[in-house]
Formats: sequence, structure tokens, C-alpha cells
Amino acid sequence: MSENSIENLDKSKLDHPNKKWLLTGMVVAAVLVAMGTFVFSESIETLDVKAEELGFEGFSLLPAPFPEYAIPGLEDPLVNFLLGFVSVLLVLIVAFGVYKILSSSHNLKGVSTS
Amino acid sequence: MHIPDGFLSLPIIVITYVFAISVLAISFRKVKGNVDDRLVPLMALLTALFFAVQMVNYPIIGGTTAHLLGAPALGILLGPWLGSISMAIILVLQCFLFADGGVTALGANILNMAIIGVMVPYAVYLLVSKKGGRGAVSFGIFFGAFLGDVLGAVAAGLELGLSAPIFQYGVSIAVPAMGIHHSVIGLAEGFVTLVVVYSTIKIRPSILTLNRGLSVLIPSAGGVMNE
Repeated sequence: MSENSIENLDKSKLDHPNKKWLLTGMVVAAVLVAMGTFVFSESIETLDVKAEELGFEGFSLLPAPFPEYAIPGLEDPLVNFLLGFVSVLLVLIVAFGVYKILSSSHNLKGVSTS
Repeated sequence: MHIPDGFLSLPIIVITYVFAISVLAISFRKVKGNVDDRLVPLMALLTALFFAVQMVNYPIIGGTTAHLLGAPALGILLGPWLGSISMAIILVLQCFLFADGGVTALGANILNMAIIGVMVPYAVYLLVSKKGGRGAVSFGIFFGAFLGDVLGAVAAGLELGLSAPIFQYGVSIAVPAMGIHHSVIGLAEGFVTLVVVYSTIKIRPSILTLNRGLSVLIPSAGGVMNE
């Protein structure tokens, strides 16, 4: 076993996530959403440009509730920011649920996920 | 890089869906029962943060914009199987809630971003970091992230090009257009992935227990080994 192996980690020195850390993460997420809403919101990707050259646009087969990350008819940057942040919370909850289903126990196994 | 509805031909839709579902099924089987319960909040938070990262569209070449994928960082930190599941969660929610990526192109988008975008960086990182030393590890992270972005885009170009005449540009135009553009994005992705991976290991060394591929980064966490 090499010196830098997972088995040699001192488990007592590993800091596990707590509420304060989650809160910090959410503040970072809010900053990112604010940047994406108020400053860097315009999206013109290569794919859009090439499609435009060909004279057609992509469409959405299923109607999404919040196309372009906005509430239809309420296209205000502040509303978009709130929608973006609520979406981040939704992703957090969904991801938490999926990982919870996949998780085993409270044993720190040193794991075989790779 | 999100492909909307109406760009892909039926055979490409079917092939990419079958491939994406198969790989995700393998990913679920690989990780089921092997995830430390205490790391669930951290993994969920990383997934949410990279969803937020994708909302930031920064300007690049030719008046176009780009956003970071986050897939390479998820792949290296969570491992290839959990990383692909994490990215797929983001893509599915983007598709059904925000019409960011079409439902017919969801298989292709998962293949490009959640499979190629996650697994290529992880494989490159593992391969290069075997050389040992912090320089090799850092280069592995940077180059892996760069290559993951570029190859994901090349795959998207290939899917679009092979969908001709629906998408009228063939492979010879679609692949270079996507590849060249994303090689610029890949440089930013590589740099950000380096910062994110080292910062996460430093702040939350518990993530080191998540996959064996992170063992080369143990010295970066500092003071977490048995005395």
C-alpha cells in the first residue's frame, strides 16, 4: 500500500460537511447566479450562430415552464435572479435525493466508486 | 453546447439515447451502496454549484459567448460514475425546466457533457498523474479538463454533421466549428478546474475518500495522514 493511499487517511482529521459549509456554498451559488443574471446573461453560442447562418432555429418539443431561465411575461432581472437561485436550490434537493438513494451507510469505506 | 430539438436526425437521436442510458445505468450500478452517506450534502452542493456556474455566459471569440461545463471538475472530484450522474441531473433539469437542450437531444447532450465531458478528464488526469509530482498532477487536471471540453464539442459537431441534411452543415464544417470554438473554452475550463479541485481538496479533505483516483492529491490536503 502506497504512503498516499486512501486507507492511510486519518479519518478523524477529515472535516465533513456541515450546515455552515452548505450555507457558504449557497452564498457562492447566489453570487454566480447574480453574475449570470445581471452581468453575463447574454448567450450566443457557436451552435446558435451556425444555425442562424443556416436560417433555422432550434425549438423545444415539450413546453418548459421557464424557457431561457425566465418566467414568461415577467422578464425582469430581479425575478430572473430569484428564479435562478430557486433553481439552484431545486438542483441541490434533487441531487441530494439521488445521492441519498445511492448511499449506503455512515461507514467511511474508502470507496470503490472509480 | 446544449443541442436543442430539431437539429438531430432520428438515427442519431436513437443511438445517443441508447448509449447515454446504458452508460448511466452502469454508473448507477457501480456506485449503488458505495457512497458514504456523510458526503451526500457535499456532492449535492457541488452539483448545485456547477448548475449555477453554467448560468454565467462570458464573452469569447467572434462575438460569441460560452459557459463553463463543470463536468471535468465533477469527474475528477466525484469519480467518473458519480460525476456522470451529477452532470446528468443538471442536464435533465435544464432540459425539462428551462428548455436548455431539447428532449430529443437529451441523449446526445448527456453523451457529450455527462459522459465524454466527465470521463475523458478523469481518464487523462489518472493517466498523467501516474507520472507523480505536483506538476504532473496539475497538468493532468488542466489538460484533462481541456480535452474533455474539446472532445465533448467534437462529439456534438459529429452528431450534428451526421444529421445532415437536417443540420445542413456536414461533418467537415460542424466538427471544426465546434472543436475550434471549444478549444478556447477548454483553456478556461482547465484553469478553473485546477482551482476548483485544489480548493475543494484543501477546504473539504473528506472528499478524498470518494474515489481512489484522488489519492495522488492527498498531499495537497495537508495533515490528513495517519501520523
